Amino acid sequence: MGLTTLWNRLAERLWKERTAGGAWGYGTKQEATEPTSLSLLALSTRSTCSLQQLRGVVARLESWQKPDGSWPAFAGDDGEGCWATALAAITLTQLGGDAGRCTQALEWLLSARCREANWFWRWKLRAFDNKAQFDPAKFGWGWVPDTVSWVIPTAFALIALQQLESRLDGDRRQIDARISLGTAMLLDRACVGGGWNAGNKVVYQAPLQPHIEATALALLAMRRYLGERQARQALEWLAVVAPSCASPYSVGWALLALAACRRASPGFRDSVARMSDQLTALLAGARAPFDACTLAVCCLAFDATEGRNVFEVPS
Amino acid sequence: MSSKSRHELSSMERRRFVTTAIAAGAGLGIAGAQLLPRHAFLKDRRQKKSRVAVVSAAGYSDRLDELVLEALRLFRLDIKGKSVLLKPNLVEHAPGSAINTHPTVIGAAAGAFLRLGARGVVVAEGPGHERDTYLVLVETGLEEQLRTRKLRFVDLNRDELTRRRTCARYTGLDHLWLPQTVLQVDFIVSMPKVKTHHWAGVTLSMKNMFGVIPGVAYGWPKNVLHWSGIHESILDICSTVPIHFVIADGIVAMEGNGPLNGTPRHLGKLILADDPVAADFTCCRLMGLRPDRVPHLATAAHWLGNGDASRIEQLGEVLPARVRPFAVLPEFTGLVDI
Repeated sequence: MGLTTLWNRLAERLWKERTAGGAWGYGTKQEATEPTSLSLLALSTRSTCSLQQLRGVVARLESWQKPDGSWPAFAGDDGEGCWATALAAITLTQLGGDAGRCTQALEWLLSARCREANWFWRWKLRAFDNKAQFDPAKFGWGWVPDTVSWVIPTAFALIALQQLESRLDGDRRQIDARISLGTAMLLDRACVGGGWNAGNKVVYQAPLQPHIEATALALLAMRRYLGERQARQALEWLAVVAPSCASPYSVGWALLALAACRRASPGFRDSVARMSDQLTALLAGARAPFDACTLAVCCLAFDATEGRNVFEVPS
Repeated sequence: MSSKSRHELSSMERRRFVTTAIAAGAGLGIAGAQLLPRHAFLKDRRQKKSRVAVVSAAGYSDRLDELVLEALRLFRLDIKGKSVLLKPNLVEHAPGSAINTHPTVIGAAAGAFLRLGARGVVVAEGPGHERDTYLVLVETGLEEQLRTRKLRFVDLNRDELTRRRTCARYTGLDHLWLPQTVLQVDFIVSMPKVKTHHWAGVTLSMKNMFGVIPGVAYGWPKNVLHWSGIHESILDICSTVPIHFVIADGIVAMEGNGPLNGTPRHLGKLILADDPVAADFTCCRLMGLRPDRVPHLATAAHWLGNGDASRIEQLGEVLPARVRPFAVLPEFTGLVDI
């Protein structure tokens, strides 16, 4: 089966996964920001769906935005906004959503502070809660407000800020400083043997193992810093581990990362081709789950191999 | 001073006295309530007597099907026509480790409940660190078990969510977002791996319920709850989501730096119970650890379930008189029962 035919089948299936409301959920009728954003991004790269069809879903995604500019994880969550804000901002920008809403989201991301931003928590994390080894002076973003920073929300926030920084009117130095601080956090949290996991590299002197999705997202966020030792180690780890991975979702993310890095690190071009074949084979087998996030990430991964990578940050 | 104004004065004083007395009474009441333990205000859910069965099992084999069924029969559970949810402990895969509830035990439990007349069995979990749940299923071998036995799996990190008021409020959180699947089933079985835990001391049937908390709402790991206190969170979750039964995998357990980097320890036991507190107290005793020194277990034994050995009926084997205590991190040496 050719790549275009496979892509069209995935996209068709993804379109059918929509809820009665027209957006996407995590395999249930409850609509959520992450599957809706990933699906919109995937379906917008080729002309499978008309822009008119997607506009309705974009409006739905926009309607979930909170007055402070953030997004909830799922429709109906009336608490504070969360990590999904960065992904929604990336999506709205790529699909020509309301520019004012994107700017508001970016401003929310810039103002979002983890616990480590407060001197008291930095002191407590250094003096007492220090069994998980990390430098609390280097902080990124958390999953939800008022917690500490973790790798995946930080990676999404960094991708959004680096892709969309030109939209912000604020102090340039402040934006650069926030991006640098988030990047420093990722560098600090890299696993001992390369790659990233949720954000705990060493706990009680024991090194923890990396995960494919977190590593891929961190690499996408750090494309400007691929010369760093942690990034090089992570790329090598990903290129070795991902080809034997049995999950299309993780292989899809690995492909997105390697495709974005292959220009800077040409040695990984073969890995991209091998992994694309691997993903095709996994999708041909009927065992893997085909929820909206998996379908969308796979579509986006195939697009990335052809040079259209929605998560790529400008170098 | 006229008698009228004297009367007005005394009436004013009376009013002031009554107001002051009410305020003082309310103040004392609030102060007193603060001094009382929280469980003093919670409904006592303890059974008169809880039942626990400790069953020897040398390893993970097909023989577990019969073993688990026989052990379940000891409890004479009324399972006919009920929907059963098995909640194993799945974190991530590391070759040669004893991190996760073994898939053979999960499969055996599912088979046994179906043979006892359950309307359906679903396996459900929301891993705390790895977001790719399907990858965890494949790598741990559970995907194959589910496929062979035609069992449905629900990713609790991404299920449809409903807001529920917390029943105990040890964390101060007045509600939790919980997966619909967990709230809709008739019978919840917590299936922990018997392990030490670097934050909580031990991770057994009660700590295992952290996995019902959805990552979509709380993150990976479920950070909001960590910051609200692990023991407090465990108590709030277990007071809000009932555990009807426990099947703990202690065949190969974990000691030392658990739940991820500890050392496998062959214990050769399955622990079944109709009370999570009784189950966890028994597991601790088998680990040579003091359950009354694990904060969430000590608190839970006041109202949620039975910890006292006199209120636990042993249906299977008797507990060994002496056990070699599990290795623990230096912070938890106080748990070791010397």
